[in-house]
Amino acid sequence: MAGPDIDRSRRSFLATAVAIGGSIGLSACLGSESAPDIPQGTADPASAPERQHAWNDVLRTDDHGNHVPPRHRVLLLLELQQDGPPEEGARETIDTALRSLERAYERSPAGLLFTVGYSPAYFERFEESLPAGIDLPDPRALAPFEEPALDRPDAVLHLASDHAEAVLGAEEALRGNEATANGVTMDAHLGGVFEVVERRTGFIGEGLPQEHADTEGIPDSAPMPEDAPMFMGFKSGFTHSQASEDRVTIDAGPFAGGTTQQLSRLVLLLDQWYEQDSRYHREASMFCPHLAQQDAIEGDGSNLGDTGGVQRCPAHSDDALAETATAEGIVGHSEKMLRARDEDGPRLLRRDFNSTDDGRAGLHFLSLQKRIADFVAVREAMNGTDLADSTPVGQRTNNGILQYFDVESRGNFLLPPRGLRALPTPRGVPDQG
Amino acid sequence: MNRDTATRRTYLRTAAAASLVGLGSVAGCLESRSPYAPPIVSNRPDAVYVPSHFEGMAPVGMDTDGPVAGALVYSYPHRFWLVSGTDRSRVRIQPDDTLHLMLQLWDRESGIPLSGTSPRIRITDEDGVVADRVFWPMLSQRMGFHYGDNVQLDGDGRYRVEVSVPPTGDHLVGDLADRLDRGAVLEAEFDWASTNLEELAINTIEDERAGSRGALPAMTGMPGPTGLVPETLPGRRLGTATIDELGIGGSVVPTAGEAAQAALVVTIKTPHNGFAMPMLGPVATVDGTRHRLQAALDPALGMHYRASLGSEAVAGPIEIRLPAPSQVARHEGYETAFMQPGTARLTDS
Repeated sequence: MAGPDIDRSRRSFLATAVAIGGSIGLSACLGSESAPDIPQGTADPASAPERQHAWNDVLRTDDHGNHVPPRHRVLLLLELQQDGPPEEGARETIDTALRSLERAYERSPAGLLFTVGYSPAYFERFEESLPAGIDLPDPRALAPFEEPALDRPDAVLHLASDHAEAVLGAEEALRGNEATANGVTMDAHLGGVFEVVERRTGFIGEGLPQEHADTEGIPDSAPMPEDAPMFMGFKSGFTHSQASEDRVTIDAGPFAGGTTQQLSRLVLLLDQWYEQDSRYHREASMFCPHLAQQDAIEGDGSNLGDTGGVQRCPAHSDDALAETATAEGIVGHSEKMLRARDEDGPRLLRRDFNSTDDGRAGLHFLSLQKRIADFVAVREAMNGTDLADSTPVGQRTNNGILQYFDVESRGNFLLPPRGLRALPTPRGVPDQG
Repeated sequence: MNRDTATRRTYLRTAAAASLVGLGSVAGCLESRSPYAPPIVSNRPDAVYVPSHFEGMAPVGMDTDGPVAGALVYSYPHRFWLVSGTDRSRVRIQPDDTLHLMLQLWDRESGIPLSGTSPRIRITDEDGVVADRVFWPMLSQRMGFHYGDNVQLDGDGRYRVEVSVPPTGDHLVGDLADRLDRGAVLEAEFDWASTNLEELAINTIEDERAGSRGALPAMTGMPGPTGLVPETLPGRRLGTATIDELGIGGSVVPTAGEAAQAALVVTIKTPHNGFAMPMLGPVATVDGTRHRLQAALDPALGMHYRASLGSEAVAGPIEIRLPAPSQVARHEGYETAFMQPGTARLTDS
């Protein structure tokens, strides 16, 4: 397993191979001596869960019970090659290709996890519109200080595995560059129906950021904990900060069992974070000043168990947070997020990961939520515009971690239930499985 | 980033090498050309003090986009201090730092500095991105309020700077609301040679003055404003007071267009130079009611703090509390000042 048990140079090599991609990246992986034995999938893909995003049941958990995200990722942004609504033949091709993929790889991080989502632009191809209960608006800028490109491909495919060989092998097979995936014959591929218009890659997990610390945006002197799972040096994805898969799942209508996916590309600006800011400031702005003052955070914050310590940050409402900001002069990212929770807890299920695409340190922020409005509400809480307005906190300075990244693109997608994942109509199509 | 805006904008580029002398040759005794800053004075007071030295600066370039103007100047890499709540941490000069960049932003029509925004600066050369960051809001004795940071360039050569200025988050008063509601993109190109810095003076302050309470005078002849608090306020003036050296002034002004509505206007300025102090969160108690004041921009008043009051009638004294220090980054001579919370009373004068 591509975990901490393999040596650093190979870990670094594998993530680089994913970033390079194509037959070169794949053959680099497969040609290396320690290529892993990747389990094949089931002959009966219909046994797979109806929720494409049902990953948690197969993810590993850490010592604290937090789900460990798959380490290697590829996102393929896809556009249909024909105008108008897709034809039945195209639908069958995509369905067949995805089923082949399920036969090729076990549905697990040791094999392959994947989802396919569709954009508002895709659904505009049809005369009918999505059911009223589906909240999938066009993407837009969500902060006064961002000017993102608005991604409007038809679809996005998210490939995830602990093995670089799996995401690369799946990609090459889907593109039609390889006839087989993991030794299993592909009965169809995406080519002819979809064109890959953009490719994004990345990684998350212990040690991987440190091995990519020679990227623009990360200063050479970065005191990043060696095992930190993310570029900013702290762990994320604490169980108590994550929505459950149940919570983010659409529960009625033809897309019941689906969810929505928000995808943004962030460039990280970490020179100040690592070269100028104090450890105290990094802790206070990522978590909250209270935890920083208590010296409660060790290393990457793994000692904060499955909660991330947020319950110990004092401010849980807009007004309480404004009072804290007035008294402290700084607010933490985690404590801003607290106020976006509702009676059911956190609204978002984060499946994000770091990146070195284009030679820049970045983050592909991918989150699942029942409605895009949930994401917008969380992002508004994170913006802290109310705090910058009437407290010493700046528009970005001392306002959580806003100083240290810029959002370069945003896109919204609907992840249909598995039975509708192949080119769905806005009203759904019959499950052919 | 909207590429189309570049074509409709006026460019006012200044090659740095062409005008090295101008701003660099301010009055002062030229005693050293070392790129390394002299030691910080010992026994600094917990107050505004005269630093051990000051350095010359020179322009990188100027540009405008709609109502917003910006000027970028450079100097030696500086040590400065970041404020994180009540914690103050020194930013040391890194071995690879090439220069310190300072950005003045202002509203062209009124000439007031544009506070409350967070400019992102991208410096590129023909090989790609050289530096990319959100500049710190800063205060210095000679420039007043500006944005800046130390930056590492990739050797001598030609560089392009792009500054993305988001719309300010400060409350906009009067006609500012109509013109400053959107962002701006400013651009400049400059030639950098490592010898540029050698042309800038390092002016050492005599021992008996360095470290004493006081401040260097603001530079004159800068392209942009330093952000001075006006001498007198409009409306019904409430007197003045001091919190940890900061001069507090208050006034109750009628709100335009709304009868029987008024705003409490509070100005907060540094001693000696009278710069408006940004990034504070003043809390006012007016007739028993607590108000968190908003940072605001007014074409005549500049940066100040304000709150809406129900009416102009204020019965008793107004209490102003500063619970936390200004979070603005401090240049030398300001780092030990204004770190204490405090309360003051303003009474009708």
